[in-house]
Amino acid sequence: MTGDTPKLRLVASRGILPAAALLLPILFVGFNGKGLLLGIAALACVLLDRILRPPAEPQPLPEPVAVLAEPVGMPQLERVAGAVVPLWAGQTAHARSEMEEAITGLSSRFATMQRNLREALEAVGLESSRNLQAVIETGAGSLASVVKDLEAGAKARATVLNKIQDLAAITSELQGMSEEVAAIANQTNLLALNAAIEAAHAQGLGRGFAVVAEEVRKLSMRSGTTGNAITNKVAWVNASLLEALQATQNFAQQDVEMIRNAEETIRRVVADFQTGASALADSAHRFEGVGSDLGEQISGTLVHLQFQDRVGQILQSVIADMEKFSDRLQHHPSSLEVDRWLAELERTYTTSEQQAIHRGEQASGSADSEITFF
Amino acid sequence: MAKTIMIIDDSVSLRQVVSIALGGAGYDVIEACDGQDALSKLTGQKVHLMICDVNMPNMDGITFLKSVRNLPAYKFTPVIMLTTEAGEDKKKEGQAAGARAWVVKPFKPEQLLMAVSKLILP
Repeated sequence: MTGDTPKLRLVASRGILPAAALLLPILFVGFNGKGLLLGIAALACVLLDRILRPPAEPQPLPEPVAVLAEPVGMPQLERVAGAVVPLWAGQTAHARSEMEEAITGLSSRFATMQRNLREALEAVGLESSRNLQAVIETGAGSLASVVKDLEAGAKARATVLNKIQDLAAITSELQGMSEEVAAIANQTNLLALNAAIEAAHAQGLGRGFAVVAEEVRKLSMRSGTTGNAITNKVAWVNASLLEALQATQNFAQQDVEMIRNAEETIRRVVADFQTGASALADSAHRFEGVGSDLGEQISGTLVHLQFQDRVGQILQSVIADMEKFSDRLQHHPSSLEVDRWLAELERTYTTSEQQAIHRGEQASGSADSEITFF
Repeated sequence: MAKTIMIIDDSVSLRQVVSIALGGAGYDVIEACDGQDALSKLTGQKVHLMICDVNMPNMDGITFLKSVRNLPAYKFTPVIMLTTEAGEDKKKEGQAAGARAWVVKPFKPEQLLMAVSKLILP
């Protein structure tokens, strides 16, 4: 009850004065416009004074040591502490348990996220490979078309070659014919000579001359036939040569067209390869950047996720101390020695933050690994 | 073939964090919740390195380390102590028990991986 009096005083000093400042002018002057105006003015003065006045220094909390050391009120303290401290311990333990559960779940999800990301990155790599494979297959098809065109060109060349070989054979035949014509000419000359001789001897005997004349006529016929044959063959050769020439000209045109097509196909295939390779490089570069950023974020998150372990140890220390305190209050309430208690508590600390708080210093979170090699 | 690392810590979340860090680097990870659990899981296993907490129920890290050094198969297996303990006395105790490194939590994954790659057996 001793604690209630200052509290009531504080409420009175804060609430009654502004109310009085508002009501007293109204009471004295009357509930009219003038009284209300004076009341509001007085209330404003009181509130302004309260705002402008520097705040009072906060009252220091009573030292726990003084409470524990004070023999007066120990039974109340024992009852309160005996009841409250187990609650503290229970609440803190519950908080620790909930935090452990939440962080464990978070870590599990994080692990799943990392695994999924890795699989996604691998899948993207596979997809890029498949795209490149498709580009390669398309390119291979196009190049096969070029090869087919080249084969057609080779076949056309073979046709021209065959024509030329035919011409060579005909040339040989023409040579034989030419030799035969030459032989006929020799025979004709000889017969003509004989005919001239016989004509000179016979005079009146024209029979022998007639035989020679007949032979000459036959030779002439043979020469004419051969000449016709040669003429025909030459005409055929000319036609074949014209055909070969035309085929060669066509082939030359086809060659130009084929080379232009081949160049276009090769250029397209190379461009496709370049596009595929460039897309693959871009993709790899982009995912490299994403992977790097994610790696840094994951690394940083892994550091932060460790807070549960440190907080858990701190809370565990507090819980153990609370339980110890509760037990001591129940069984040996008179044996509480503050200095000894605090020393024992300090020995349970594991983190530098706990020790800093115990010394009354600011606890700074440790964010960097400290590694010592032995 | 991937190297195997055992993490011994009573905190499930910390074991998971260590597993994520090591698993991402290609190591196989075995988890144990305290020294006793770790000793039981070492049988029939080839473990190339151990990462061990100090304060654990049932069997603490220093006791576990001393027990491990009595096992012929793990006499020279590197052990990294991973703990919130930063006191020099504790570090000396760990060194005397056969620890090869002392890492104070919270650890940065890349620094733990650096220590692992430096110490792990071939």
